[in-house]
Amino acid sequence: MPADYETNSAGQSVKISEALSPYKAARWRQLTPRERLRRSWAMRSRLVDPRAAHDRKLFPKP
Amino acid sequence: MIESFFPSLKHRGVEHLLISGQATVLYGAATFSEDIDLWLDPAPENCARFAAALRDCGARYYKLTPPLAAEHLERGHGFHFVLAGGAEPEFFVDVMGKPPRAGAFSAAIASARWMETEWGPLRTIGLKDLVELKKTQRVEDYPIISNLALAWFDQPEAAATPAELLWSMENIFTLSALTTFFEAHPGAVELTAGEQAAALKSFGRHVISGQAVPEQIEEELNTWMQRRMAALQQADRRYWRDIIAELKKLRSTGQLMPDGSEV
Repeated sequence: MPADYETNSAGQSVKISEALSPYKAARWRQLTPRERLRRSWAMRSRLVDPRAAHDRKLFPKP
Repeated sequence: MIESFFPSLKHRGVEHLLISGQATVLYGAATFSEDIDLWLDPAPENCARFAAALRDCGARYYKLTPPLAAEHLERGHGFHFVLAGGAEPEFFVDVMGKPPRAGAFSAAIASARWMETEWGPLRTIGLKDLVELKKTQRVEDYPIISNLALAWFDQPEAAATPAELLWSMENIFTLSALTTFFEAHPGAVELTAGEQAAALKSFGRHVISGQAVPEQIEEELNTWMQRRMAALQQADRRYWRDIIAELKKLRSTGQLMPDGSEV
């Protein structure tokens, strides 16, 4: 498997660069909603601190 | 685990819609969202069913969460829960019973769309309602709204009528999305109206003919988009003022649920 791929819990590969900026590649909209959600959720494992990421969005500092 | 969360909602008969981040991902307007946002039918019996589903999943209260009661759902408060992720990281579920700029839950159900996913079929808020929900104070939401406005024409119920094209144009906040819009809908150039009609027409005509758009036109439209965004952000701040004040009162009187406690 190339270095820029990772495997999610379902054993499916996710190309990191695609997941980060797929909209610009115009490929993202061609994917099914199912596949878009799968790729997005798989990217969560790359968050260093999921709580901090969640809190930043939900409880922003004024 | 996320795989059992949605089946638990179904098992308990919880009336809900998937909204915000994951909904924008499903519509193809965003590429990532780390949590689950739900719009819960605020009826008391539905609230009780939702609490039971959360207990089934071992959910815990997260920060700044009022008691899960219809009264607080109706007031527009947000409710935050954290669930164990199994082999994956824990995940957050954020819930509202009355999201901002949205009408009644029953009306939103009528325009919702079922999406097939690995977690089962998810009833997802309609795209136009989602656009209104995303008009928040976060700057990063506006490119996503623009993508939703473009994605509208991918929806089965959409038709490129003048009214739909104008709705889409009114919800575009970036020049790149505006370029994509005119490339896809060249006829919309002649529909432009309002204070920026001349600049929009010029922008559209340059895009369609494949010519570079004059910098002055880009600047004018960019300023116009920024001004509209600022007005929407201010309206969102105004919307939350009373709800935040009430939340602070609940906190100062010890009425919020303890962070980490079981539902």
